[in-house]
Amino acid sequence: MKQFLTEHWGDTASVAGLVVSLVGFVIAIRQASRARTAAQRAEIAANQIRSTIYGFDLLQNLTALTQILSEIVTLHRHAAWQAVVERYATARKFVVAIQAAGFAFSVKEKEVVASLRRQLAEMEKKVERVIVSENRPPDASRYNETIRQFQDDITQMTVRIRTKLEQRDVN
Amino acid sequence: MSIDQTANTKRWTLLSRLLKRTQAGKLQWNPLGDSDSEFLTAVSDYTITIDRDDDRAPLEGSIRVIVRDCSDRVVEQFDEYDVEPPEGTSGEPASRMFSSLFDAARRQAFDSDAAISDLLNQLGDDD
Repeated sequence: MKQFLTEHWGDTASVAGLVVSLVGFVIAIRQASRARTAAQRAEIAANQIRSTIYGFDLLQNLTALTQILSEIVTLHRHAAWQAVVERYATARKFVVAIQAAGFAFSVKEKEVVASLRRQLAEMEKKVERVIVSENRPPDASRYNETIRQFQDDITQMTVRIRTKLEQRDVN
Repeated sequence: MSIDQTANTKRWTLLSRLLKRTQAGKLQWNPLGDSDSEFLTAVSDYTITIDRDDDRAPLEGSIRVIVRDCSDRVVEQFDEYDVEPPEGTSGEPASRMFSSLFDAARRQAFDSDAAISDLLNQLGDDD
């Protein structure tokens, strides 16, 4: 063994160096991998927090929209056209915020939100004409029939999204 | 006036599909506001309205289809004069297609079939 080492000292040293390098390399890879995993975990956690905040923002907007739609129904009932115009505009702002929330809405939910935006824009346009040129006012009961349908749809959406957020919190 | 063939084919296809899906009860139309002559449906983020106005200018069709995107911006708008049956189709005039779609949308929005069935029940048999 001693003779072997004496005769092959250079080779042995090279092999030992290679082994040390390989071990160092493996350790470096593991450390880098751990650091990356930790960074990824931090990123996932940050994304979850961000997504939860957006989710609660969305819930707030949906709740506010439901409230405004109720006010619109009452204002229609009292033919308070002057006041309702501003509520349409506010409702549309919430609709836009809901659309922009980036939540994974179902196709049906997307259709509900897009239709509501269009209906509100149309109602606003017609009521503005009533105020400016004293046109015949729209049929309040039919307007309310439309709004009530959306109230139901938005409530269903709110329930689904709240449940989804709660499930995510539990998990 | 020549019609852009690509746009024409797409519009025709859109009309045909809207009509088929409406007749199959797969597309929900609703009156727009309190209107009896303007109806709205949505397909994902897009809204489609169809309206009939017989008092439009002479070169404008009485039935018009408007497509809006998620920002409520008009991305497409056409009437009977903007669409022709593409080559190879049955040759049904565009005006008939528009008219069929408008009628189907109106019947769906007002649930006309249910109303007629109810009426027939109320009236009873002929005998």
